[in-house]
Amino acid sequence: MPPRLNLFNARAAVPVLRHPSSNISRPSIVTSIGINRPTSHGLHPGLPSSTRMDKRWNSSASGGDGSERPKGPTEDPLPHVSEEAAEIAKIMNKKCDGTAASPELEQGTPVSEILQRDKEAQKHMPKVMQDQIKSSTGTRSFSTSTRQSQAELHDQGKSVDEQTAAMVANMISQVNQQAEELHPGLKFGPVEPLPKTENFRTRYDSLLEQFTKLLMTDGKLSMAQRNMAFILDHLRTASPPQPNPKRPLLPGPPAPQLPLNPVLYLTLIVDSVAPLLKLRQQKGLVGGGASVQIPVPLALRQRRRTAIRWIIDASDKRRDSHFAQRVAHELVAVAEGRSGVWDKREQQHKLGTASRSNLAGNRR
Amino acid sequence: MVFILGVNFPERNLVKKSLESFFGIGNNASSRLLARFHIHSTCKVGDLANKQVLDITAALSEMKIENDLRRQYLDDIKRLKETGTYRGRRHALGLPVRGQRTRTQIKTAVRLNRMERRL
Amino acid sequence: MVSSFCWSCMTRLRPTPRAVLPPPVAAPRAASFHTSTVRYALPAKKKASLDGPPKFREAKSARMKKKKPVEKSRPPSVGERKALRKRIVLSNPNALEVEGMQDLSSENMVDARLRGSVLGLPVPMLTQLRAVEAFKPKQGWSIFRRPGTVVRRETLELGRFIDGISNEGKDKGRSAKKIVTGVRGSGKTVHLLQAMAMAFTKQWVVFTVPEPQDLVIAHTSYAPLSDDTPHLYVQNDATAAMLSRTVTANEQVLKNLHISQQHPALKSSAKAGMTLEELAKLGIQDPAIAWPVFQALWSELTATSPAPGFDKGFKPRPPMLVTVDGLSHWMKNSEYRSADFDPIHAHDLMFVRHFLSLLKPGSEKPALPNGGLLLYATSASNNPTIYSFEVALKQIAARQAGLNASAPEFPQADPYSKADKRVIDAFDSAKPTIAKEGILELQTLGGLTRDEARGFMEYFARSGLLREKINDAWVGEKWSLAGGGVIGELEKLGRRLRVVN
Repeated sequence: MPPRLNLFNARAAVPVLRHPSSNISRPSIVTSIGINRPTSHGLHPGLPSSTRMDKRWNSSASGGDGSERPKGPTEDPLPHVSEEAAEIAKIMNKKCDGTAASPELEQGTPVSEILQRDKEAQKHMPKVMQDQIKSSTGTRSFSTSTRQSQAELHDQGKSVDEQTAAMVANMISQVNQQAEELHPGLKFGPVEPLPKTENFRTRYDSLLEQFTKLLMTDGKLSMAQRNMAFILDHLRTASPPQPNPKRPLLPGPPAPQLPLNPVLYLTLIVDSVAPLLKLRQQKGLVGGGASVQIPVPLALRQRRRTAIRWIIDASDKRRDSHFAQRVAHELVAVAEGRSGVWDKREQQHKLGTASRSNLAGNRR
Repeated sequence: MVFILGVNFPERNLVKKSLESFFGIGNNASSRLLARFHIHSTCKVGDLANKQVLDITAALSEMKIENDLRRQYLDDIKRLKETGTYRGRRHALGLPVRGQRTRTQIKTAVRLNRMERRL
Repeated sequence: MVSSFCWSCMTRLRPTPRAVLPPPVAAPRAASFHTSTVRYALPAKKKASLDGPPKFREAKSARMKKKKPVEKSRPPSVGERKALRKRIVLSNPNALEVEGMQDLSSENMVDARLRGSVLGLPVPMLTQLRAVEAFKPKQGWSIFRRPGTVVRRETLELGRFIDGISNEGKDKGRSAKKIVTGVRGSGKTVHLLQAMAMAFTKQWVVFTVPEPQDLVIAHTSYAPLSDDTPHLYVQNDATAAMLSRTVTANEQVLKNLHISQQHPALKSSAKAGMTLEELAKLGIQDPAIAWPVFQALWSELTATSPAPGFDKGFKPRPPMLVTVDGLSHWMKNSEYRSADFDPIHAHDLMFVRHFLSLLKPGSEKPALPNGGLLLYATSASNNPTIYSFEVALKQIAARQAGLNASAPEFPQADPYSKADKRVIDAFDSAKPTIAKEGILELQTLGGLTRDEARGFMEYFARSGLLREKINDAWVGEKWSLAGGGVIGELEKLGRRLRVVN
């Protein structure tokens, strides 16, 4: 009897293989570089405006609030694959005048409409509906179909609609005015919720915090914070990086502007060398207890963690006496494409691509 | 290189540490020596004036240090042994002298206390 | 026909022995093109490695691997780390140039319209300010394009005062004595820096003691002053260092002044017709005579008229600015020891004694007869707690408020606290008898006002370091967060990188 394949594994692995593949093949989609940039540049209108930060890499649930927020120039204009497919289907199914090719496709058709068209079906329709047709004057005071009533409303013409809407708005504003007169204390609107960083526990940028904690040794957080401050000051004062065209940073503001926002600079550096996947040693896929490497996608935080770890490890080989100085120089080296961290990332990706075949063995 | 009491010290060494390299001079004695000649505690050997070097050497030669002190030390132990005291016996047996326990932790006594005591 | 085979027997047929069949392999099922090689390949042998702790049911040999000798890089050369620690960077080429920033000059230092704006320090003056060690390494000069300071209320007062002394008028020749205190980060050191910058623009002579602590921690040489006074000590190296600071910073002024007195202590080395710069350089070249040289220089600078015989080419002496940053280190026993191994009180060091004696009102002529300013600041970051000094400061404040020393509410030291009498006496100055000499005052620096804070934050924004909408609400918030506009805290808030999303 053949040994049973591990169904749990298989199930876990298949989406892993399938799902993010579109993302992996097109890394430029990345929206995760939406680093926190202030929305308001009173003084620097030229700088790009904010993008969101904590969007996950391979989250397929795009859309939602995404369409409302302003898009930064660093954000890739390409929509998600599923959105794209929907868009294409829409285009294909549309006629030139803009109405849907088949209404059934766009919105379900009520049964009654079908029955009106289909004489044959009318004979076999439920008794309730037959009764309804017989007394077709529509004497019933209520309607069972929301859609029909909507259509009726639509038919009645817009003028009535607008009048009633204006009247309602008028009433609301009157009530509001009265409320204001009654409660003079309500001078200002409701207090907006504080931004995330105004909480003292989350006052630092998430990447900054992660980097600081990874700099920490022996639990000495304040030492790590001092080192972090040194690194940021170095990024702020060192001359702007000369980007290497072969190893460009993620799209962001032009290089001469980077030192003015060291956190963004740091984020770009870390995210640019962050690997997309890691290799896991998986036992039991091949018989005999042999383990094979399978690529596993990483979440944003994991990717950054790996990148920061690499950067700190690479900085140990430098000759500067001061730890923070070593890391700072290594960061600039990464920004200019001189660092060995880039090789590490490429190597990791190459291995990951090669070991995709191991995943194939996991499918039934 | 500066000679203090016949010993050559590199110029970058601290005066205080250099003095403490003599047998019989510790923290207290060296601090007092420095204060006597108005030398601050972080002074390097190279920064000493000639007169100060001579003063220190003169002061050191008056003190009982190095071999004189060692000889006195050995003589004292010898006296204890010869008068047949308990302490002298402990010295000779390689055991602790001052009433420590002997079940454990007598490494120092084993190392140092013997018939022919050396320093 | 019935089959000869019994069906039941058929079912009872023994299965083929397992050994004959190919072994069932847990090979990849849905397979690549050829499967046979994979199926029959031997499973990969695991490498027995000795690294790491033994896994479950895995033996580990007791033989330990030898540790590889760690390759150590050479330690940094002598003085490199200290140089890095003390390095002062005054410009950041990445920061934006602030448009319309004015430089400090003798005209705009009294301009009240500039209150709340940031005035740049003139570039040629930076070498002078560096020479007197006006900048401290922990201050945030390095993030701006060029150094600049905020004009606050105290700065304008200071500017007016310095301007008044320098110009011809009723204030000419006045002198003031101030002890600057304030909470941590309230800008005491920068206040001294502003005073120095203004003094340099007005061609004053500036004496500074940037690190009073260095004089009492037994890190420089000391020697008894003379055989007559065995309990007094001079610090020749420290004095020579101060002379060199003074000469570098005030070279232009000292070059134009000439010796006007006999200096018997210097014997033949001080010749008539020497400039004061040359006189000071005597002490730098030979630290053994640094103290007498300093005394000679001081008497020259405080001279109001030439001694007989030196009339030729006497020029009136300029006013003087004396600053000390971190006074309380001078209020206790130093780390030095006397010959009898007793601790030496800081007031027995001639250097310290000289600067503290300036606080006392002079008997026949003021401490600074040509006018000038004494600015002694306390520190709040590196600060020994000295009870008697605290009492002394309270007494100064009370005296400044017009309280008599015999009044019952005049602050006195707790009789059981063993307060240091010498410290209290050092600040116990009676009202000066000479009109132009000011009483010893206590100046407490607090926070900026909101308008000044706004100007300061706008400076951050214009330098490209702060990305916020600077409006009154925002500034008010930061002003409160900074403990009521404490400028050091405001600076931290300004350079803090906030995340907005």
